[in-house]
Amino acid sequence: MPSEDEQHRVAIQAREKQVLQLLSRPSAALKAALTDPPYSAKSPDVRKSSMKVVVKAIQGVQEKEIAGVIDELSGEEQDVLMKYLYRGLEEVEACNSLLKWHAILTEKAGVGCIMRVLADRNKL
Amino acid sequence: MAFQASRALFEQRKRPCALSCIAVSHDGRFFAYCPQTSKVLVSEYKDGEFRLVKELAQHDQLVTSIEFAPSSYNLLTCSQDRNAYVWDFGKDNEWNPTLVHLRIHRAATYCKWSWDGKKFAVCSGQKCISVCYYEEENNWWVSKLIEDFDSTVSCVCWHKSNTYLAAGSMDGAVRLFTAAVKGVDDKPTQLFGPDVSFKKIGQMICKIETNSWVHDICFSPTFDSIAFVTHDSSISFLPIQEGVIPQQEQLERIRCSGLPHLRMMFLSHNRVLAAGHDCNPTVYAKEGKGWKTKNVQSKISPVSPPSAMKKRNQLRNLLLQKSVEDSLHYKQIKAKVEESKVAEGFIEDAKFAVQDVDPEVCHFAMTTL
Repeated sequence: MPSEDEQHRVAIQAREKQVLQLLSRPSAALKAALTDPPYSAKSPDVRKSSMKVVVKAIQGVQEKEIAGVIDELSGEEQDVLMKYLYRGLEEVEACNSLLKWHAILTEKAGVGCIMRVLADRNKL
Repeated sequence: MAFQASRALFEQRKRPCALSCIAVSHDGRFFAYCPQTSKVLVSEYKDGEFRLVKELAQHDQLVTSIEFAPSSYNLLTCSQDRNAYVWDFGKDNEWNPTLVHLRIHRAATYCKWSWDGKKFAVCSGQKCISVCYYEEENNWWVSKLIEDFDSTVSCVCWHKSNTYLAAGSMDGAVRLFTAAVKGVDDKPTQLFGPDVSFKKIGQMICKIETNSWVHDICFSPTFDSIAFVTHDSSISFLPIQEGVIPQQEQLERIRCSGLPHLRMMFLSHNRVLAAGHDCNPTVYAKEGKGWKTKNVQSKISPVSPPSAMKKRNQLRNLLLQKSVEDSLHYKQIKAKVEESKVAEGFIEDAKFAVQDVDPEVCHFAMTTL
């Protein structure tokens, strides 16, 4: 029986493959990357690799398309995306595009979205 | 000590200070509020204006909650000094305090009368609720404790039967309890199935996880749902069906775009008003099966004084610039309906009051909601 972290790792790898295939359709790729966040993972590496998949999906989106892609996400997905954005900023990686996304997402989903990230006990 | 210091600070400040709580009597005649001090001020609404009639000074720390009794001018107040008082309104137009035996050694956070006015609940930082009732023999308000919490209890509301209560707490859960007191209540109805026992007060019927602080909780006027606002900028609705224990899966959660709401209330069975850190009271409406944000923020404008909204924003900017306020979250808006006519479930000509860092109370005409 593989450990929980191992299961997450396998799921994230599968997700990464899926995202890379879907990169031509940015919103589908992002939606795939945002599924099933590894809240229960014990190792920080697992969370980090999950975040990297989201960053890959984000970087596949052109700047003028960002607003359109965010509009297609559900409220739940927008909250998860915001969580990943903050997690990404923690790692000081691709901050330029993350900040751009953050600004547009805040405009679309409101500061309530940030509040939900701060208040949620399921951390990434 | 800390309170003395903060009070000194308050008196030095040139700017007005936020109100910690407000209450409106059942007929809208009296209006009680606490300007972040240990005193409760009561105003009378007469000939279109508020006139200060009484200053109730009995507490010695910040008053956290005020409630008028459902059908009289009797007041209930609780404070961080771990006490609660029932103020009986006498024939001489005076309020006489009676101390309540709360049995707590932490601050009281919130209080609420039951619908028949025979009991009330006081929440506290001691992870419990005191359900208080009057004992004739001793001429004294006594209490029974409900202790099933992991953190400070922040809000409570009564079911119309007065034998159930719902409570929200800082451990991120909403709980439903039995609250019948022998000798005070008639035989309780088995609303949540025959398995619920009334032998002892405070039997937990269900626990709904919300994952963040619960600020306020309300039963709908038809008692077919419970609504509550949480610190994760959400408002949630839990349907209640007779004979069934509510389940976590039935929870309907609405994401708000602004900052979290602190207080909420039902305007009718399908309209909810919520207000808080966001500075904008928001109405949520039930359309068809689900609840939706009814964006009235731009539509509601205070009836009087007309410049209050603008003034509030100016004041907020001032706070930001000077950053003298302990934190911006200090400000609170609270809403309270002043129902003057309720006809066929439709509230006519009712008003609600909103207050903020500026203690001016804005009135909004209900018709615009």
